[in-house]
Amino acid sequence: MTVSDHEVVVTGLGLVTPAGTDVESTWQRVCDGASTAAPDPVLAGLPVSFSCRVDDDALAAAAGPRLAWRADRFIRLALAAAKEAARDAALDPSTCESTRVGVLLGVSGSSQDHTTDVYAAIAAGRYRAVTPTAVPRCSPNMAAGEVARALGVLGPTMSVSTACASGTTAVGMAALLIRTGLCDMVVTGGCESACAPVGAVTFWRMGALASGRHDPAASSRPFDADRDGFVLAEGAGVLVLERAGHARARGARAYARLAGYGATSDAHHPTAPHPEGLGTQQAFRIALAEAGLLPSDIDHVNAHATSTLLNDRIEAAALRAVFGSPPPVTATKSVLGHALGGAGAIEAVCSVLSLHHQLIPPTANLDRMDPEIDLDVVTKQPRSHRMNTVASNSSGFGGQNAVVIFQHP
Amino acid sequence: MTQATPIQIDEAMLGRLLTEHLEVSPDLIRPDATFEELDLDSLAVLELVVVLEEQTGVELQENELGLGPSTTLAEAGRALSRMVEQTGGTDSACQENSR
Repeated sequence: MTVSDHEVVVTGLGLVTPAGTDVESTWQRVCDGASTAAPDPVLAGLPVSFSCRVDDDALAAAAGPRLAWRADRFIRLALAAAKEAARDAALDPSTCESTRVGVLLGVSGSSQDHTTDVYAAIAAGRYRAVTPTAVPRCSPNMAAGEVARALGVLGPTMSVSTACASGTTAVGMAALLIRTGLCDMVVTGGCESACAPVGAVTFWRMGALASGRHDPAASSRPFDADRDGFVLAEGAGVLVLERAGHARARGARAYARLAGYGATSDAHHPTAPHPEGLGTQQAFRIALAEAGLLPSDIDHVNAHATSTLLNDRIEAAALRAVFGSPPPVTATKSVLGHALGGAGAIEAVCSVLSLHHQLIPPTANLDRMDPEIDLDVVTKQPRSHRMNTVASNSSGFGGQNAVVIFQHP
Repeated sequence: MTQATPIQIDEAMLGRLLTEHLEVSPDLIRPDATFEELDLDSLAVLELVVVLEEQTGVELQENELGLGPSTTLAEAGRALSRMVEQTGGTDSACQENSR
Protein backbone atom coordinates (compact mmCIF):
# COMPACT_ATOMS: atom_id res chain seq x y z
CA MET A 1 0.00 0.00 0.00
CA THR A 2 1.13 3.53 -0.67
CA VAL A 3 0.95 6.43 1.76
CA SER A 4 -2.09 7.66 -0.11
CA ASP A 5 -3.88 4.36 0.69
CA HIS A 6 -3.58 5.20 4.38
CA GLU A 7 -4.83 8.74 3.97
CA VAL A 8 -8.48 9.14 4.95
CA VAL A 9 -10.54 12.15 3.96
CA VAL A 10 -14.03 13.39 4.82
CA THR A 11 -16.15 13.68 1.68
CA GLY A 12 -19.67 14.01 3.08
CA LEU A 13 -21.42 15.46 6.13
CA GLY A 14 -24.90 15.00 7.57
CA LEU A 15 -26.54 16.35 10.72
CA VAL A 16 -29.91 15.93 12.35
CA THR A 17 -30.12 17.88 15.59
CA PRO A 18 -32.68 19.82 17.61
CA ALA A 19 -31.58 22.82 15.50
CA GLY A 20 -32.75 21.23 12.24
CA THR A 21 -32.48 18.28 9.92
CA ASP A 22 -29.50 19.38 7.87
CA VAL A 23 -25.93 20.57 8.30
CA GLU A 24 -26.72 24.15 7.37
CA SER A 25 -29.45 24.74 9.97
CA THR A 26 -27.36 23.22 12.76
CA TRP A 27 -24.22 25.13 11.85
CA GLN A 28 -26.20 28.38 11.74
CA ARG A 29 -27.71 27.70 15.15
CA VAL A 30 -24.45 26.77 16.87
CA CYS A 31 -22.82 29.88 15.39
CA ASP A 32 -25.73 31.93 16.77
CA GLY A 33 -25.09 30.38 20.18
CA ALA A 34 -28.84 29.99 20.71
CA SER A 35 -29.80 27.03 22.90
CA THR A 36 -32.30 24.50 21.57
CA ALA A 37 -33.44 23.31 25.02
CA ALA A 38 -37.15 23.65 25.72
CA PRO A 39 -39.95 22.06 27.75
CA ASP A 40 -40.54 18.58 26.33
CA PRO A 41 -44.17 17.36 26.20
CA VAL A 42 -42.95 13.75 26.29
CA LEU A 43 -41.28 14.42 29.65
CA ALA A 44 -44.13 16.51 31.13
CA GLY A 45 -44.59 15.92 34.86
CA LEU A 46 -41.23 14.17 35.31
CA PRO A 47 -38.53 15.46 37.70
CA VAL A 48 -36.72 16.92 34.67
CA SER A 49 -39.18 17.92 31.96
CA PHE A 50 -37.09 19.69 29.30
CA SER A 51 -34.75 18.48 26.60
CA CYS A 52 -33.32 19.25 23.19
CA ARG A 53 -35.75 17.38 20.90
CA VAL A 54 -35.77 17.03 17.12
CA ASP A 55 -38.99 18.20 15.45
CA ASP A 56 -41.17 15.19 14.55
CA ASP A 57 -42.42 16.42 11.18
CA ALA A 58 -38.99 17.58 10.05
CA LEU A 59 -37.52 14.21 11.06
CA ALA A 60 -40.23 12.30 9.16
CA ALA A 61 -39.55 14.37 6.06
CA ALA A 62 -35.78 13.91 6.28
CA ALA A 63 -35.69 10.22 7.21
CA GLY A 64 -38.12 9.01 4.54
CA PRO A 65 -41.68 7.72 4.40
CA ARG A 66 -43.25 4.82 6.29
CA LEU A 67 -40.57 4.27 8.90
CA ALA A 68 -42.28 5.08 12.20
CA TRP A 69 -44.18 1.77 12.42
CA ARG A 70 -41.04 -0.33 12.20
CA ALA A 71 -37.97 1.79 13.02
CA ASP A 72 -37.48 3.57 16.32
CA ARG A 73 -36.39 7.13 16.55
CA PHE A 74 -32.62 6.54 16.83
CA ILE A 75 -32.77 4.66 13.51
CA ARG A 76 -34.74 7.43 11.81
CA LEU A 77 -32.28 10.04 13.08
CA ALA A 78 -29.38 8.02 11.65
CA LEU A 79 -31.17 7.50 8.33
CA ALA A 80 -31.85 11.20 7.89
CA ALA A 81 -28.25 12.22 8.67
CA ALA A 82 -26.79 9.39 6.55
CA LYS A 83 -28.90 10.31 3.54
CA GLU A 84 -27.70 13.90 3.74
CA ALA A 85 -24.05 12.81 4.09
CA ALA A 86 -24.35 10.34 1.19
CA ARG A 87 -25.89 13.04 -1.04
CA ASP A 88 -23.16 15.46 0.01
CA ALA A 89 -20.48 12.90 -0.87
CA ALA A 90 -22.27 11.91 -4.10
CA LEU A 91 -22.00 8.33 -2.83
CA ASP A 92 -23.38 6.09 -5.56
CA PRO A 93 -22.97 2.35 -4.86
CA SER A 94 -23.51 1.56 -8.53
CA THR A 95 -20.31 3.39 -9.47
CA CYS A 96 -18.02 1.88 -6.83
CA GLU A 97 -17.22 -1.53 -5.42
CA SER A 98 -20.14 -1.59 -3.03
CA THR A 99 -18.80 -4.44 -0.85
CA ARG A 100 -15.96 -2.03 0.00
CA VAL A 101 -18.37 0.62 1.32
CA GLY A 102 -19.11 0.06 5.01
CA VAL A 103 -21.34 1.53 7.67
CA LEU A 104 -20.10 1.98 11.23
CA LEU A 105 -22.28 3.86 13.69
CA GLY A 106 -22.01 4.61 17.40
CA VAL A 107 -25.07 4.05 19.57
CA SER A 108 -24.91 4.32 23.34
CA GLY A 109 -28.10 2.80 24.72
CA SER A 110 -30.98 0.74 23.50
CA SER A 111 -33.99 2.40 21.98
CA GLN A 112 -36.56 3.71 24.41
CA ASP A 113 -39.52 4.54 22.17
CA HIS A 114 -41.18 1.22 22.12
CA THR A 115 -39.66 -0.96 24.82
CA THR A 116 -42.07 0.45 27.43
CA ASP A 117 -45.06 -0.88 25.44
CA VAL A 118 -43.36 -4.25 24.97
CA TYR A 119 -42.57 -4.58 28.69
CA ALA A 120 -46.14 -3.57 29.62
CA ALA A 121 -47.66 -6.17 27.28
CA ILE A 122 -45.39 -8.89 28.66
CA ALA A 123 -46.06 -7.90 32.28
CA ALA A 124 -49.81 -8.14 31.56
CA GLY A 125 -49.37 -11.59 29.99
CA ARG A 126 -50.52 -10.23 26.59
CA TYR A 127 -47.71 -11.90 24.70
CA ARG A 128 -49.45 -11.91 21.33
CA ALA A 129 -49.84 -8.13 21.56
CA VAL A 130 -46.04 -7.72 21.31
CA THR A 131 -45.24 -6.31 17.88
CA PRO A 132 -43.13 -8.50 15.58
CA THR A 133 -41.08 -5.37 14.91
CA ALA A 134 -39.93 -5.24 18.55
CA VAL A 135 -36.49 -6.73 17.89
CA PRO A 136 -35.57 -4.97 14.64
CA ARG A 137 -36.94 -1.62 15.75
CA CYS A 138 -35.02 -1.54 19.03
CA SER A 139 -31.71 -3.38 18.50
CA PRO A 140 -28.72 -1.00 18.62
CA ASN A 141 -27.20 -2.48 15.43
CA MET A 142 -30.28 -1.65 13.38
CA ALA A 143 -29.33 1.98 12.78
CA ALA A 144 -26.30 0.84 10.79
CA GLY A 145 -28.30 -1.98 9.19
CA GLU A 146 -31.05 0.33 8.00
CA VAL A 147 -28.53 2.89 6.72
CA ALA A 148 -26.81 0.18 4.65
CA ARG A 149 -30.20 -0.88 3.28
CA ALA A 150 -31.28 2.68 2.47
CA LEU A 151 -28.00 3.52 0.73
CA GLY A 152 -27.61 0.14 -0.96
CA VAL A 153 -24.05 -0.37 0.27
CA LEU A 154 -22.86 -3.94 0.80
CA GLY A 155 -19.66 -3.71 2.83
CA PRO A 156 -19.21 -4.44 6.55
CA THR A 157 -21.93 -2.95 8.74
CA MET A 158 -21.45 -2.63 12.47
CA SER A 159 -22.13 -0.65 15.60
CA VAL A 160 -19.95 0.41 18.48
CA SER A 161 -20.99 1.47 21.94
CA THR A 162 -18.66 3.45 24.19
CA ALA A 163 -21.43 5.39 25.91
CA CYS A 164 -21.12 9.13 25.30
CA ALA A 165 -17.92 8.61 23.30
CA SER A 166 -19.66 6.26 20.82
CA GLY A 167 -19.89 8.74 17.94
CA THR A 168 -16.19 9.61 18.17
CA THR A 169 -15.14 5.98 18.58
CA ALA A 170 -17.14 5.07 15.47
CA VAL A 171 -15.43 7.75 13.37
CA GLY A 172 -12.00 6.61 14.56
CA MET A 173 -12.73 2.94 13.95
CA ALA A 174 -14.18 3.74 10.53
CA ALA A 175 -10.87 5.36 9.58
CA LEU A 176 -9.16 2.13 10.63
CA LEU A 177 -11.42 0.10 8.31
CA ILE A 178 -10.08 2.24 5.47
CA ARG A 179 -6.45 2.30 6.63
CA THR A 180 -6.38 -1.50 6.95
CA GLY A 181 -7.53 -1.79 3.34
CA LEU A 182 -10.92 -3.37 4.06
CA CYS A 183 -13.02 -0.44 2.82
CA ASP A 184 -12.78 2.41 0.32
CA MET A 185 -15.55 4.37 2.00
CA VAL A 186 -17.30 4.17 5.37
CA VAL A 187 -20.49 5.95 6.32
CA THR A 188 -19.87 6.63 9.99
CA GLY A 189 -21.02 8.65 12.96
CA GLY A 190 -23.50 8.15 15.76
CA CYS A 191 -27.11 8.52 16.75
CA GLU A 192 -29.21 8.53 19.88
CA SER A 193 -32.71 9.23 21.03
CA ALA A 194 -32.99 9.25 24.79
CA CYS A 195 -35.52 12.07 25.24
CA ALA A 196 -37.96 9.62 26.77
CA PRO A 197 -39.15 9.01 30.34
CA VAL A 198 -36.64 6.18 30.90
CA GLY A 199 -33.72 8.35 29.75
CA ALA A 200 -34.84 11.38 31.74
CA VAL A 201 -35.55 9.59 35.01
CA THR A 202 -32.49 7.33 34.97
CA PHE A 203 -30.00 10.11 34.22
CA TRP A 204 -31.80 12.42 36.67
CA ARG A 205 -31.59 9.81 39.43
CA MET A 206 -27.82 9.51 39.07
CA GLY A 207 -27.51 13.29 39.32
CA ALA A 208 -26.21 13.81 35.80
CA LEU A 209 -28.95 16.10 34.45
CA ALA A 210 -29.25 19.86 34.79
CA SER A 211 -31.77 20.37 37.57
CA GLY A 212 -33.92 23.01 35.95
CA ARG A 213 -33.05 25.78 38.40
CA HIS A 214 -32.10 27.77 35.31
CA ASP A 215 -34.54 28.23 32.41
CA PRO A 216 -34.31 25.28 30.00
CA ALA A 217 -32.45 27.44 27.46
CA ALA A 218 -29.89 28.44 30.11
CA SER A 219 -29.46 24.97 31.58
CA SER A 220 -26.68 23.60 29.38
CA ARG A 221 -23.82 25.88 30.43
CA PRO A 222 -20.46 24.13 29.97
CA PHE A 223 -17.53 25.61 31.92
CA ASP A 224 -19.84 28.11 33.66
CA ALA A 225 -19.57 28.39 37.45
CA ASP A 226 -23.35 27.81 37.81
CA ARG A 227 -23.59 24.64 35.72
CA ASP A 228 -25.27 21.67 37.37
CA GLY A 229 -25.59 18.91 34.76
CA PHE A 230 -26.27 18.10 31.13
CA VAL A 231 -29.43 18.58 29.11
CA LEU A 232 -30.79 15.45 27.47
CA ALA A 233 -30.81 15.68 23.68
CA GLU A 234 -31.24 13.57 20.59
CA GLY A 235 -29.67 13.66 17.17
CA ALA A 236 -27.30 12.08 14.71
CA GLY A 237 -24.11 13.09 12.97
CA VAL A 238 -22.76 11.23 9.95
CA LEU A 239 -19.52 11.60 8.01
CA VAL A 240 -18.54 9.82 4.82
CA LEU A 241 -14.90 8.82 5.23
CA GLU A 242 -13.00 7.79 2.15
CA ARG A 243 -9.58 6.61 1.05
CA ALA A 244 -7.96 9.76 -0.32
CA GLY A 245 -6.94 8.07 -3.56
CA HIS A 246 -10.49 6.81 -4.08
CA ALA A 247 -11.89 10.29 -3.49
CA ARG A 248 -9.39 11.85 -5.91
CA ALA A 249 -10.14 9.25 -8.58
CA ARG A 250 -13.83 10.03 -8.57
CA GLY A 251 -13.31 13.77 -8.22
CA ALA A 252 -14.93 14.02 -4.79
CA ARG A 253 -14.52 17.16 -2.72
CA ALA A 254 -12.61 16.59 0.54
CA TYR A 255 -13.57 18.73 3.53
CA ALA A 256 -10.69 17.48 5.66
CA ARG A 257 -8.23 14.69 6.33
CA LEU A 258 -8.83 12.48 9.33
CA ALA A 259 -5.28 12.79 10.59
CA GLY A 260 -5.37 10.90 13.87
CA TYR A 261 -7.43 8.92 16.33
CA GLY A 262 -6.71 8.00 19.94
CA ALA A 263 -8.75 5.87 22.30
CA THR A 264 -8.12 4.84 25.91
CA SER A 265 -9.85 3.59 29.02
CA ASP A 266 -9.68 5.12 32.49
CA ALA A 267 -10.09 1.71 34.20
CA HIS A 268 -11.03 3.75 37.22
CA HIS A 269 -14.76 4.08 38.05
CA PRO A 270 -18.07 3.07 36.44
CA THR A 271 -19.13 6.67 35.79
CA ALA A 272 -16.70 9.22 37.28
CA PRO A 273 -13.77 10.33 35.13
CA HIS A 274 -10.22 9.76 36.33
CA PRO A 275 -9.49 12.69 38.69
CA GLU A 276 -6.68 14.04 36.48
CA GLY A 277 -8.33 13.03 33.21
CA LEU A 278 -5.40 10.72 32.57
CA GLY A 279 -7.34 8.68 29.99
CA THR A 280 -8.26 11.82 28.08
CA GLN A 281 -4.65 13.04 28.16
CA GLN A 282 -3.44 9.71 26.81
CA ALA A 283 -6.12 9.62 24.08
CA PHE A 284 -4.93 13.06 22.89
CA ARG A 285 -1.28 11.94 22.91
CA ILE A 286 -2.06 8.78 20.95
CA ALA A 287 -4.09 10.71 18.36
CA LEU A 288 -1.31 13.30 18.02
CA ALA A 289 1.29 10.55 17.59
CA GLU A 290 -0.77 8.88 14.86
CA ALA A 291 -1.13 12.20 13.10
CA GLY A 292 2.58 12.94 13.53
CA LEU A 293 1.75 16.24 15.20
CA LEU A 294 2.77 18.18 18.28
CA PRO A 295 0.23 19.58 20.75
CA SER A 296 1.11 23.05 19.47
CA ASP A 297 -0.13 22.04 16.00
CA ILE A 298 -3.75 21.84 17.22
CA ASP A 299 -5.56 25.11 16.49
CA HIS A 300 -8.91 24.38 18.14
CA VAL A 301 -10.55 21.76 20.37
CA ASN A 302 -14.23 20.92 20.27
CA ALA A 303 -14.56 19.77 23.87
CA HIS A 304 -16.76 17.03 25.32
CA ALA A 305 -17.95 19.69 27.81
CA THR A 306 -21.21 18.19 29.03
CA SER A 307 -21.97 20.93 31.59
CA THR A 308 -21.61 18.51 34.50
CA LEU A 309 -19.51 19.74 37.42
CA LEU A 310 -17.01 16.91 37.21
CA ASN A 311 -16.56 16.50 33.44
CA ASP A 312 -15.85 20.11 32.55
CA ARG A 313 -13.34 20.66 35.36
CA ILE A 314 -11.43 17.43 34.68
CA GLU A 315 -11.50 17.84 30.91
CA ALA A 316 -10.10 21.36 31.30
CA ALA A 317 -7.31 20.04 33.53
CA ALA A 318 -6.55 17.30 30.99
CA LEU A 319 -6.34 19.86 28.17
CA ARG A 320 -3.90 21.95 30.21
CA ALA A 321 -1.80 18.88 30.90
CA VAL A 322 -1.62 17.97 27.20
CA PHE A 323 -1.30 21.44 25.67
CA GLY A 324 0.22 23.60 28.38
CA SER A 325 -1.55 26.57 26.87
CA PRO A 326 -4.56 25.01 25.07
CA PRO A 327 -5.91 26.45 21.83
CA PRO A 328 -9.40 28.03 21.72
CA VAL A 329 -12.09 25.64 22.90
CA THR A 330 -15.82 25.47 22.30
CA ALA A 331 -18.69 23.40 23.72
CA THR A 332 -21.31 22.51 21.12
CA LYS A 333 -23.51 20.90 23.81
CA SER A 334 -24.30 24.38 25.12
CA VAL A 335 -26.59 24.79 22.10
CA LEU A 336 -27.53 21.23 21.14
CA GLY A 337 -27.59 19.51 24.55
CA HIS A 338 -26.04 16.10 25.05
CA ALA A 339 -27.10 13.52 22.45
CA LEU A 340 -25.11 10.77 24.22
CA GLY A 341 -23.99 8.23 21.56
CA GLY A 342 -24.69 10.79 18.83
CA ALA A 343 -22.82 13.65 20.48
CA GLY A 344 -19.27 12.77 19.44
CA ALA A 345 -20.31 12.43 15.80
CA ILE A 346 -22.26 15.70 15.82
CA GLU A 347 -19.20 17.40 17.31
CA ALA A 348 -16.89 15.75 14.78
CA VAL A 349 -19.03 17.25 12.01
CA CYS A 350 -18.94 20.64 13.76
CA SER A 351 -15.14 20.38 14.05
CA VAL A 352 -14.86 19.73 10.31
CA LEU A 353 -17.17 22.69 9.68
CA SER A 354 -15.02 24.91 11.91
CA LEU A 355 -12.03 23.95 9.79
CA HIS A 356 -13.98 24.46 6.58
CA HIS A 357 -15.38 27.88 7.55
CA GLN A 358 -12.35 28.95 9.67
CA LEU A 359 -14.85 29.82 12.38
CA ILE A 360 -15.29 28.62 15.97
CA PRO A 361 -18.89 28.73 17.21
CA PRO A 362 -19.45 30.22 20.66
CA THR A 363 -20.27 28.37 23.88
CA ALA A 364 -23.74 29.52 24.94
CA ASN A 365 -24.59 30.43 28.53
CA LEU A 366 -20.99 30.88 29.62
CA ASP A 367 -21.56 33.98 31.73
CA ARG A 368 -19.07 33.41 34.54
CA MET A 369 -16.18 30.98 34.06
CA ASP A 370 -15.71 28.36 36.75
CA PRO A 371 -12.76 29.83 38.70
CA GLU A 372 -11.07 26.41 38.69
CA ILE A 373 -11.09 26.27 34.87
CA ASP A 374 -8.35 28.00 32.92
CA LEU A 375 -9.21 27.76 29.24
CA ASP A 376 -9.72 30.11 26.30
CA VAL A 377 -13.38 29.24 25.69
CA VAL A 378 -15.02 31.00 22.75
CA THR A 379 -18.19 32.60 24.03
CA LYS A 380 -20.96 35.02 23.00
CA GLN A 381 -19.80 35.47 19.37
CA PRO A 382 -18.31 33.05 16.85
CA ARG A 383 -14.57 33.64 16.47
CA SER A 384 -12.80 33.80 13.13
CA HIS A 385 -9.61 31.85 13.61
CA ARG A 386 -6.94 30.50 11.27
CA MET A 387 -7.08 26.73 11.63
CA ASN A 388 -5.15 23.99 9.92
CA THR A 389 -5.81 21.27 12.49
CA VAL A 390 -8.67 20.70 14.94
CA ALA A 391 -9.45 18.02 17.51
CA SER A 392 -12.72 16.71 18.90
CA ASN A 393 -12.77 15.02 22.31
CA SER A 394 -15.31 12.67 23.88
CA SER A 395 -15.59 10.58 27.02
CA GLY A 396 -18.19 8.11 28.19
CA PHE A 397 -19.41 6.33 31.29
CA GLY A 398 -17.30 3.22 31.62
CA GLY A 399 -14.16 5.37 31.39
CA GLN A 400 -13.96 5.37 27.60
CA ASN A 401 -12.10 8.21 25.91
CA ALA A 402 -11.77 9.05 22.22
CA VAL A 403 -10.11 11.87 20.28
CA VAL A 404 -10.19 12.52 16.54
CA ILE A 405 -7.98 15.03 14.72
CA PHE A 406 -8.96 16.63 11.42
CA GLN A 407 -6.65 18.59 9.14
CA HIS A 408 -6.99 20.66 6.01
CA PRO A 409 -6.95 18.24 3.07
CA MET B 1 -77.74 -6.99 24.75
CA THR B 2 -77.74 -7.29 20.99
CA GLN B 3 -77.11 -10.52 19.09
CA ALA B 4 -73.40 -10.99 18.38
CA THR B 5 -72.64 -10.99 14.66
CA PRO B 6 -69.55 -12.44 12.97
CA ILE B 7 -66.92 -9.82 12.10
CA GLN B 8 -66.48 -9.01 8.44
CA ILE B 9 -62.90 -8.08 7.65
CA ASP B 10 -63.26 -6.35 4.32
CA GLU B 11 -60.71 -4.38 2.36
CA ALA B 12 -62.11 -1.15 3.80
CA MET B 13 -61.23 -2.29 7.33
CA LEU B 14 -57.84 -3.60 6.17
CA GLY B 15 -57.26 -0.34 4.34
CA ARG B 16 -58.03 1.67 7.45
CA LEU B 17 -55.69 -0.45 9.60
CA LEU B 18 -52.92 -0.33 7.00
CA THR B 19 -53.25 3.44 6.79
CA GLU B 20 -53.39 4.00 10.55
CA HIS B 21 -50.82 1.46 11.71
CA LEU B 22 -48.48 0.84 8.78
CA GLU B 23 -48.48 4.29 7.18
CA VAL B 24 -49.75 3.03 3.80
CA SER B 25 -51.03 5.91 1.69
CA PRO B 26 -54.87 5.85 1.50
CA ASP B 27 -54.59 6.50 -2.26
CA LEU B 28 -53.09 3.05 -2.77
CA ILE B 29 -55.82 1.09 -1.00
CA ARG B 30 -57.83 -0.92 -3.58
CA PRO B 31 -59.40 -4.40 -3.30
CA ASP B 32 -57.05 -5.76 -5.94
CA ALA B 33 -53.87 -4.18 -4.51
CA THR B 34 -51.38 -6.87 -3.46
CA PHE B 35 -49.23 -6.76 -0.35
CA GLU B 36 -46.21 -6.47 -2.60
CA GLU B 37 -47.67 -3.47 -4.42
CA LEU B 38 -48.32 -1.84 -1.06
CA ASP B 39 -44.69 -2.51 -0.05
CA LEU B 40 -45.83 -4.76 2.81
CA ASP B 41 -43.16 -7.38 3.56
CA SER B 42 -43.47 -10.43 5.83
CA LEU B 43 -42.85 -8.30 8.92
CA ALA B 44 -45.58 -5.87 7.88
CA VAL B 45 -48.09 -8.68 7.33
CA LEU B 46 -47.28 -10.07 10.77
CA GLU B 47 -47.74 -6.59 12.26
CA LEU B 48 -51.15 -6.41 10.54
CA VAL B 49 -52.10 -9.75 12.14
CA VAL B 50 -51.16 -8.40 15.60
CA VAL B 51 -53.27 -5.28 15.03
CA LEU B 52 -56.21 -7.41 13.88
CA GLU B 53 -55.92 -9.67 16.92
CA GLU B 54 -56.06 -6.59 19.14
CA GLN B 55 -59.15 -5.39 17.27
CA THR B 56 -61.03 -8.68 17.11
CA GLY B 57 -59.91 -10.46 20.25
CA VAL B 58 -59.35 -13.55 18.11
CA GLU B 59 -56.08 -15.45 17.95
CA LEU B 60 -55.15 -15.62 14.27
CA GLN B 61 -52.84 -18.42 13.14
CA GLU B 62 -50.78 -16.42 10.66
CA ASN B 63 -49.17 -19.53 9.16
CA GLU B 64 -52.58 -20.92 8.19
CA LEU B 65 -53.81 -17.75 6.51
CA GLY B 66 -51.72 -18.29 3.39
CA LEU B 67 -50.91 -14.59 3.05
CA GLY B 68 -48.04 -13.83 0.69
CA PRO B 69 -46.67 -11.04 -1.48
CA SER B 70 -49.24 -11.65 -4.24
CA THR B 71 -52.26 -11.78 -1.91
CA THR B 72 -54.72 -8.97 -2.66
CA LEU B 73 -56.51 -7.03 0.06
CA ALA B 74 -59.82 -8.63 -0.99
CA GLU B 75 -58.31 -12.12 -0.70
CA ALA B 76 -56.70 -11.28 2.64
CA GLY B 77 -60.05 -9.96 3.92
CA ARG B 78 -61.80 -13.20 2.94
CA ALA B 79 -59.12 -15.42 4.53
CA LEU B 80 -59.10 -13.38 7.73
CA SER B 81 -62.92 -13.24 7.97
CA ARG B 82 -63.06 -17.02 7.52
CA MET B 83 -60.57 -17.61 10.33
CA VAL B 84 -62.30 -15.15 12.64
CA GLU B 85 -65.61 -16.85 11.95
CA GLN B 86 -64.17 -20.32 12.59
CA THR B 87 -62.66 -19.25 15.91
CA GLY B 88 -65.81 -17.45 17.04
CA GLY B 89 -64.87 -13.76 16.84
CA THR B 90 -67.85 -11.45 17.04
CA ASP B 91 -68.50 -7.75 16.82
CA SER B 92 -69.15 -7.66 20.57
CA ALA B 93 -65.67 -9.17 21.16
CA CYS B 94 -64.36 -6.56 18.80
CA GLN B 95 -66.00 -3.77 20.79
CA GLU B 96 -64.74 -5.30 24.03
CA ASN B 97 -61.18 -5.16 22.71
CA SER B 98 -61.53 -1.69 21.29
CA ARG B 99 -62.14 -0.18 24.71
